[in-house]
Amino acid sequence: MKTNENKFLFVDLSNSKIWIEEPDPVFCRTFLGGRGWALPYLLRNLKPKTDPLSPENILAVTTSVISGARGPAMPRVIVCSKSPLTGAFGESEAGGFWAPELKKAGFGAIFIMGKAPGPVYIWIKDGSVEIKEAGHLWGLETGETQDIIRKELKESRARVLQIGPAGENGVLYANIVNELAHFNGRNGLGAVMGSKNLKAVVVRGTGEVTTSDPEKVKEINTWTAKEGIEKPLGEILRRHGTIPLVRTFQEVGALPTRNWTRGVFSRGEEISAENLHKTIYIEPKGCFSCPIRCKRRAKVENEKFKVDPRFGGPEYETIGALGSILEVSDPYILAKANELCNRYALDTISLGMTIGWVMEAVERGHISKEECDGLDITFGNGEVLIPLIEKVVKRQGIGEKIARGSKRFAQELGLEEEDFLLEVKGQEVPMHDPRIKTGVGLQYALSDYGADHIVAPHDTVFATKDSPGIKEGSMLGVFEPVDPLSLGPEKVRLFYYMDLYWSLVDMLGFCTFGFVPRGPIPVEMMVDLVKAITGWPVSLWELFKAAERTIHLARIFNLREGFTPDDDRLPKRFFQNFNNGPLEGKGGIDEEKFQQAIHLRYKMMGWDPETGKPLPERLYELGLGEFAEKN
Amino acid sequence: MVKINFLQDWKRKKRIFEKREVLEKQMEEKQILVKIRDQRGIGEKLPEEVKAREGIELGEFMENLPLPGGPGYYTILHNGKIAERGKKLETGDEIGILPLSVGG
Repeated sequence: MKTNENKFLFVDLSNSKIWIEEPDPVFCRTFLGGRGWALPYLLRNLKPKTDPLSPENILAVTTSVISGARGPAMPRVIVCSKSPLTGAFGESEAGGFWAPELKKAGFGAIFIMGKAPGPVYIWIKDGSVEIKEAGHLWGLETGETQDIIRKELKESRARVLQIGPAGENGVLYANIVNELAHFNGRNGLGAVMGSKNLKAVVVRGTGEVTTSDPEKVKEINTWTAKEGIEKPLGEILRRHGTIPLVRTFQEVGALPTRNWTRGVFSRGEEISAENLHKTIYIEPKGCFSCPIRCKRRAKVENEKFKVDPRFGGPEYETIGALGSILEVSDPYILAKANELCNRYALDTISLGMTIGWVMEAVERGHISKEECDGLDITFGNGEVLIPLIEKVVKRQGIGEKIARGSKRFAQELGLEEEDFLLEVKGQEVPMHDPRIKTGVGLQYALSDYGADHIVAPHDTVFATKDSPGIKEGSMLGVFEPVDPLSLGPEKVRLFYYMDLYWSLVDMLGFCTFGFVPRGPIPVEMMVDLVKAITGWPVSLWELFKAAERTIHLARIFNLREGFTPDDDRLPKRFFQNFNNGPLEGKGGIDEEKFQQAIHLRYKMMGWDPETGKPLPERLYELGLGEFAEKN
Repeated sequence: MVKINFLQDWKRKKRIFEKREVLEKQMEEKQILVKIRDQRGIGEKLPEEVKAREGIELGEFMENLPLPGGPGYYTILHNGKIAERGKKLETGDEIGILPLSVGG
């Protein structure tokens, strides 16, 4: 079977109703995929202020117009919904193999609504769809679930997108995972799936995704495999993944340490790439059709902390959030904590940051040791992580409070105004300090789905005339370096463009690690891939316009949920100076300049500076008149 | 009888003089020894010490190092702090070369 279809599958779990719609090709090209396909549907069909964990919420599991073709760095499945963690538009991308398989089975996206009366999973094979009973899988961790499903379906190559016990139990930062190691993290979309009693979406597609110009696709893949991976950023990713960032930040003085009170971790060397390679890492794996193969895997034979490589290995964000943030440096504990989070499908950034908040609250005397269920939740105590993860997943004792994230816990104790709460729109900040990269701060503040580190490439790739963003990114329209510490108009403009660019990357299901300036593949090859796969004579301008539509639609989604410009902010701690290391006594972001930058960005976007609303003329210009009238 | 073009002869002598001046200046130039801490984790490790012209600025120094892609693809530290391109190097200075602090 040959296919490149973008059929949308609808599943109403409340009444087991299944139907298929064929979207207009003009819609597919206008919105490309991912959040582009999800947002119009959510805005039309999801009532404002819907409880994210109610049957009325809608979960959109999407691919894009190019998914499934054998191009490099384009494996991603994009899940969108209303987030239970933030209450805002929720979106998350994961690599792996699931999205191409769905395309090979004949579908472009699945919209899931309602709530099944008991646990179920959806089984899709080459265009046929079935809802199957999953009571026997409920409560199982991800590895067992995948094994049982493959065995009972007699399909060893079925791709399983699933939740673990964290999603079943409504942990507000529960993940969705495919192939046990590729996560739709952040935003808690696993809890949305759990609230629908949906354990998994399993797919097997034996079709072949057709492309308009297969030779061109092959040529780009070959270039990536031969030349792209030899480029410095590609080679670092392939050899070490993201973990070398530990030493870079440590030496610069901006490694998030002790709940962001320090920029240098005294035992940082123990969590460096070198030491993790010596102790826990084995050879990496990759995603569908991608030669970069950057995915870490950890294996530990040690009886106390035995770690199975099927569940991947900790990347930089996890090592930061569970390691330096908590002052835990034992690689074996970190590998085990990561494995447990992956078995239960739990977001390691939000988990680590919420535990970090608890540790500081304990230190400041806001939480007593008795309230910690007898656990010693203090900085540096790595041993506490394992029992604490179990408590969070089972929502027992203090685990119940940690399972709801740091913002809710702080609100409960009246501590939300304190400087040690580090979240934006309810989502805990990831492991990049905006005090050395102000554009990252703008991303954290403005991201429609809360603080996130992959909204746009980071400032450092545009820092000098030799930087990859300047040397290789001229197609993006940035020709002059921009100081990583600046908050002037040139920085706001840069991040306006880069937000568009990575929104495009996300909606097409591309991996941000694949393309210039973060990865090795030139921007023009991205456009060539879209042309070669779809046969459409697209330009970068057209693609950027598609991305721009989604930023405005996500904004409209959040405004109707009650978000205001006051929510586009940074945690207080980033306006304070560093307390130790090479940056001691400096670094605090100028709050006034930051606010001015946010306002300038509103104006560049065509948003009312007072209300944050997209102006009708901008929406009409983007062909979004329908939403201008409702806005 | 050989005709002497005085103008040409003067230009020739001036060129020789200028060349000699440059050579003498180069010989007089002092060199500095800069320590390199290569922590890129990829490619052939750079030497631990490199000679350079006294007064060289960090930007020029980095551009002359055999770094694939060029210095913009790495995080460069000068004596443990984020490097400033215009800063002059001195003997004993240490240059740290680490992966770029990108997202991920």
